[in-house]
Formats: sequence, structure tokens, C-alpha cells
Amino acid sequence: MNEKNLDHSHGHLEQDNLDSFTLIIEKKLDKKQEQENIKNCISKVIESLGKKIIEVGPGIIGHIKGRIEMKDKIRFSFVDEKQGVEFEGNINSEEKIDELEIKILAVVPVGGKELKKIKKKTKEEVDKCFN
Amino acid sequence: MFETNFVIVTGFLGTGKTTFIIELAKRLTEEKDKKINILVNDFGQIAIDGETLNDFGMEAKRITKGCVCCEVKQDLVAQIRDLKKNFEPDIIILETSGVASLLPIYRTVEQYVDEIETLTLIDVSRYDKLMEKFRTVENQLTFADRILINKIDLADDEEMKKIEEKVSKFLNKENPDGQLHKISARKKIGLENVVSGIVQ
Repeated sequence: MNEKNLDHSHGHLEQDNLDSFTLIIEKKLDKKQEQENIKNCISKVIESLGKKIIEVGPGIIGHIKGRIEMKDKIRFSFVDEKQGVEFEGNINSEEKIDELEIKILAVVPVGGKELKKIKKKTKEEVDKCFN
Repeated sequence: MFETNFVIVTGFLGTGKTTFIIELAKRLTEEKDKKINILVNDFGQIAIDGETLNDFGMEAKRITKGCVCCEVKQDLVAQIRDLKKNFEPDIIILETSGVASLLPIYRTVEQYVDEIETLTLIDVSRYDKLMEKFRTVENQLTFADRILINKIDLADDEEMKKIEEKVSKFLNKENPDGQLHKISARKKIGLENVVSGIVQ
């Protein structure tokens, strides 16, 4: 299967001047962390990613969404600053975990080198949550 | 012979489709005693929406590797036939990706289901910007049976009135039969009429 098929709906995205990136980050932590702390840190990363897209794009985001899969699993979504990062699902805040997976999909009106830079920066910011 | 209705839940990226389906599916099953199946056309390589529906105890079948309106039409047909054969559902709900076009989906599924109903969600606080920047939004509104202005809990009365006027004006011109509903899927506001409309 070619890349175009994997990154589906390419034609639709082009029609609306949108582009996308996906990040899947698996982590094994040296020291256990509370689920709530991880949720809060990722929330900040997503908010900052959204603000960056607004700053460098035409002032609007498509959609940034994803999942944090810890012992509990939650979905997050960000479309604008007013609504902020919204979560779907519940977590046991104090539960400590040392293994997780974060999936991020950003469909945004920014492309090319700028989008690659933003993707790289996002990964670095996620990594910082666990240092 | 059982009948299967096909409910398409569409709307631009981030308008609240998954949150709405969680509530819709729950109400159709628990309150209206309907047997439902959910198909999710997740965008891209990761199945965020499908997995989220599964987290909420709903068995959502994912259609990946393409858009159901173009690249993977045959996957959609295969899923519908499979569901009808094995589950005999009253209603199949399809969550489209946020950038899907509707007409090709109708043409693909019409011979396999008894009735098609399209619900298009719009986001009250982003309506103007989305209409201005993204052509897909117009298509989704033009072909909807019901237009759901979602996230009304985030708008004040004045903002709500303005959006309602703008959407009504668009519908009068492009889709006069489209019915307007005001809802908040997250806060569970205004959903009764939508659910009742679907099962009528």
C-alpha cells in the first residue's frame, strides 16, 4: 500500500488546504508517575501545539486529537483556544503507571517544512513530560 | 424481512461527532430498544475514534486505509453486508471522517439499506471561520437531513441567535428541507428530538 493511501483522504485535504501528521509514542518510565500528572502535561503540550498552528497558519485549526493509553484510556481533542483541550473518558487520577502510549493526529491548515518542524517540536515536548 | 436504516453522522473536523455518537448509540439502545452497529471511518493511520467508542462499551467496526466516499467504498459495502447478515441491526451508524463528501456515500450504500438519514454537526463557536476556510463544510450542510448546531453550552444567547440566523439563511437557500436542532452532545442537551426523529 502506498503512502498516499495510508495518509487517507489526501484529495479532500488538498481541497481544503489541510495537511496532517501522526505521532505514536510508546514510553516505559524509569519511575512511576500518576496518571493525572501525565494527562495534565500532555494537555499542555496539545494546547501549545494548537497555539502554534494558529500562529503560523490562517488563524484556525482543523483538529488535533488523540489518545493517552495508560492503565486507563482517555481521548483528547483540541479545536480552539476557547474550548481548550477536552477529554473523553475517566482516569483514576492517583493511579501510578510506568508504561503508556500516546497517539496524536493533527489535521491542520499548515504544511511542508513548517508542519515537519511542529511535529518534531511536539515529540520533544511530549518527551519532556517524562524526563 | 428486517429493515436496516443507515444513519450517517458527519461534520467537519472537531465538531463533536464521536461524543455525539456515544450518547446517540446509548439512547437508541437503552431507551428505544434498537439493535445498532457502528462503523467508524477513522482518518489516517490511527483509529482514535473507533477505539474511543470501544472504550465506552460500543462495538465499533473501523474502516481505515481510506475514505468511505472514495478510496474504500467497497470496504463500506462489505461491512454493511456483513453486519446485516450476522447481526440484523435496526440501525447502522456511520461516523465519517471530518472531510468526507456525502453524495458518493449515498450512491454506494443506497442499494444495501432501507433508509438513509444524514446528521451533520456544526460547531457553534467556529461556524463562521469553518465556512469561510473549508469547502467541505458547505457540502456537509447541503446534503444533511438534520443539522445539529453542537456545543450550544459554549455560546451566549446573542452568539447563538446570530449563528442560528446564519445557518437558517444558508439552509433556506441550499437545503430547505434540512431540519435544524440545537444540541450539546457533551452536556446531553437537546438530544431527545434528534433520537426520536431517527426512530420515527
